This record gives sequence, structure tokens and C-alpha cells, in this order.
Amino acid sequence: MATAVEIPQMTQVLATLEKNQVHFSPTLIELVWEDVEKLKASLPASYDATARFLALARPIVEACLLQAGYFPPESPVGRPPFPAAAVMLLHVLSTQEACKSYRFLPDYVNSHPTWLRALQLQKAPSDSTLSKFRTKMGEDFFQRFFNALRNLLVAFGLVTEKQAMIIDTAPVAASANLARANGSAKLDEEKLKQLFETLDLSPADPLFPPESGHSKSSPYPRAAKQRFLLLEKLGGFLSRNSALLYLQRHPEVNQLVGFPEGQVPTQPTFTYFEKHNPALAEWVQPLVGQLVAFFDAQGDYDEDDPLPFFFRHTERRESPG
Amino acid sequence: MGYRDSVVCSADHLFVFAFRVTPANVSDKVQLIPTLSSLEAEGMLKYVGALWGDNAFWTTGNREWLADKHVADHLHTAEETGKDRKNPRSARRKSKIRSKIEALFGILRENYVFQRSRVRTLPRVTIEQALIFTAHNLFGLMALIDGRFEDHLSMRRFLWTLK
Repeated sequence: MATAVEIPQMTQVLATLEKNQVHFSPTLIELVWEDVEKLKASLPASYDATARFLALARPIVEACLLQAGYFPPESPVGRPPFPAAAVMLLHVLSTQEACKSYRFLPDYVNSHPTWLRALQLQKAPSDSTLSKFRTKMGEDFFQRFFNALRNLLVAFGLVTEKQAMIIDTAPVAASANLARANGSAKLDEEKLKQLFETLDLSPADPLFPPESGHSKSSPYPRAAKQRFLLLEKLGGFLSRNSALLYLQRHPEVNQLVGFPEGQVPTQPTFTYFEKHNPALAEWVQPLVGQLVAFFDAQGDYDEDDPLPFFFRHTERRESPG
Repeated sequence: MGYRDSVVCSADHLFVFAFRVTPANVSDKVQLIPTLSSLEAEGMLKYVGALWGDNAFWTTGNREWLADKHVADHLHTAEETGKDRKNPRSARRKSKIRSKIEALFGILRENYVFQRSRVRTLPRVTIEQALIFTAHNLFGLMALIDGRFEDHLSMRRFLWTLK
């Protein structure tokens, strides 16, 4: 790898731009160069290497932002926004191995006053602000920013015409919580049975419309559907589908809920049920007294952590991360 | 499980010239044309004079496309791959250049959060990868501007030591 590369003269850079027809505004490059030269001459001695990099990179990032089609809002509503160049440089810092996560980044930067000074910030924006910036700008903007910087590399002669290039692929491991994805929970059937035996659903009956004789009646009893909806909420299933899947895999629980043997309803059954009947919060209202009495009578029920009451968690696989 | 980065880099200074992020189940052989097509759309394909790559990219479609765009094809052939390769000398010659990209992956992996992601979903991972490659190129450019181009691949030396 060749390392003896000299800084090109500005005239050379402009000539390269003209010759190769690279999409980068020559005026912007001239302005950037002026700024960089000024900054180089006036960098405080207290700056460490990173602060020096941040200070010198700021005009370049500003130019790339303009080239990528970013223009600061003229009259922003509310608090003035953080300068986009500083936010982009913070993102660049966040890609470092030393920066453990986006959440860690503000603390990491705030602990280095010279970096903040180089970025012209009083305080680093929070991880939420950075996340909002990424969401707002979107994938295309970051691609355009990358392209603008690549064009600048061409302008500075670091990539020349008809160059040798290499292509390859590399895997990127997904940020997946395998422990959660592969973990399985087993419902405590005894407690569930006890609840369904104790719970009398009849006080909620007047809230439901009478079943009409015109349409084909559902093969699933209404009480069973109510019990299932209660189980879904009290059991803390991640989705309705996962609760239905649990019933399919555990016929004994399906029986406790009250569905006919070997039959588990599908999601549309409940969509239809919810559409044509009062909301769960409404029909549970008359049952609150019973539910409170049931849980009060249980010695091992913890209000702050209600889920383990119904669930006996099986051991989960360790996450590789 | 995850994603796949296809990267085009310059063979001399290891700058990332183009990249594309796809789900991991997308085969390597279908990555070449879309990755280079994005360059063509911006008129930047003229900077790719010759292309090196492993034999996963050596398909008739890819070679025809490269020939059509006047890009010299130095992709490893099936005969230059494996333990009992028929053309070991040409394989070695090609590997000398092609293997440099492995050094780039190593550098990115050591210095940046490369080959793992801190976010979920393809658009967010694409943004993260774009930031990594942007950071790599920016450090290179800044090393040149700061008169210490010899440090452009060692981000640690560049960011943590003053010249």
C-alpha cells in the first residue's frame, strides 16, 4: 500500500474536478480549503488528536452535507437545532470500536471538553436526538453523504481514473436477542385452572349483544373467547399469534380455556369478536372485584412483577452477544 | 442470520468506493452488478479500471456485464480456486491484489463496529454501515489534509496520537 502521498495544491484539486467531471461544487471546495487552512493555523495547543480531527473535519462535513442536499432549516420552531455537521461527526465517532453504543456516545463525548469545543457544542446531544436525526434523514441521505465524500476523495486525487478495485462481501451479524427469540415459557396450568374456576363471567353478560339467529353461530363459545382474551393479557404474551400458537402446542391449556377439543380459533375470529362486542376494558369492568379478590388471596403474587405468577420460565439460551 | 455487505474498495489506499447492504441470504454472485450499477448511475464507473474478486463473482452474467462496461475482469475463476487448483500461478497473482480487501475488513473490524450491528432492520443497518464506510474514508482524507497520510489506515494512531 502506497503511503507517500502529498497534500495536493488547491489548483490541482480544482483541475481534477474539472477534468474528471466529479459531482462536487468547486466553490464549496475552495471555501472548505480556506476554512481548513484558517483552522490549522489557529488550533489551540490543548487539543488532543481527536479534537484536532473533529475541528478540521467540520468544514469538510459541512460541505458534504450541502453536496448531499442538506440545508439547515431557516426558521426552526422551538429550540435551535444542533448543527448537522456536529451531529454527523458525532455519528462518525460512534462508529469507533471504543464507543460501545449510541447510548454511551453522549457521555463519551461530554467527558472530553476539548472535543465539545472542537464541535462548537456546549453539551453533546442525547442518544434520542441522534436517533431522531438518523430516522428523519433516512437511508438515502446517508448514502448521498457517503457519495459526496467519495467524490471529494476523487477530487483530492486519492482515487484516480481506471483504478484497480476489489469487490468482496462480508457478513454483518444481526442485533438479535437470541435468548428472547428462542426462550420458551411454560404456563402454570394449576394457577390458570384455579383462576378460571373461580372467575364467574356472568356479570359481564348484559354488556354483550344477544346472539341473533340469522347468522351462522361461531363454533367457539363466547366465554372461551373471553377467557382467551384474559389469558392473552394476564399471561403477557408478546402477540396474539404467540398466544394462539401456545394453545395449539398445549391442548391441555386449550381445554382449560374452553375451546372444543383439538380446535384453536384463528386471529380473524378474535378480530370479528372485538369488532362486534364491547372492548375488553369495558366487559372486564364488572369482573374487577373478582379478579382483585383472586389475586389478593394468592400469597406468591407480586404486583410489581405480575408475569411470573402464571409463567414458569424455562431456562433460556445464552445470547452470543 | 443477519445482513451482507458487498464492498468495492480501491486496491492502493483501501478507500471504500461503493457498498451495498442486503439480507444475508442474498448470494454473492448477484451482488456485483447492482453494486457497480449504482456507480454507473452517478458516472463514477470510469474510476473502476479493473476488478478483482473471488470466484463467487465469476459468473457468465457478471463477466459479460464487466466486458460491456469496459472493466477488466480479474475475478478468480473456478480453476484458480480450491486446494487442487489447475492454475496456481495465476491464482497467486490475482490473490496478491484481491486479498487486500481482507485487510480492509480486518481494519474495519478492529477499529469500527463492522460485521456486527447495534440496530435492527435493514434500513437502519444500511445507515450504520454507510456511517462506518464514511468514517473510514473521512479519516483517510483528514489524514491527507493533516499531512499524516501514513496513519490513514490506523485510526487509533490517527485519533489518539499527535504527530
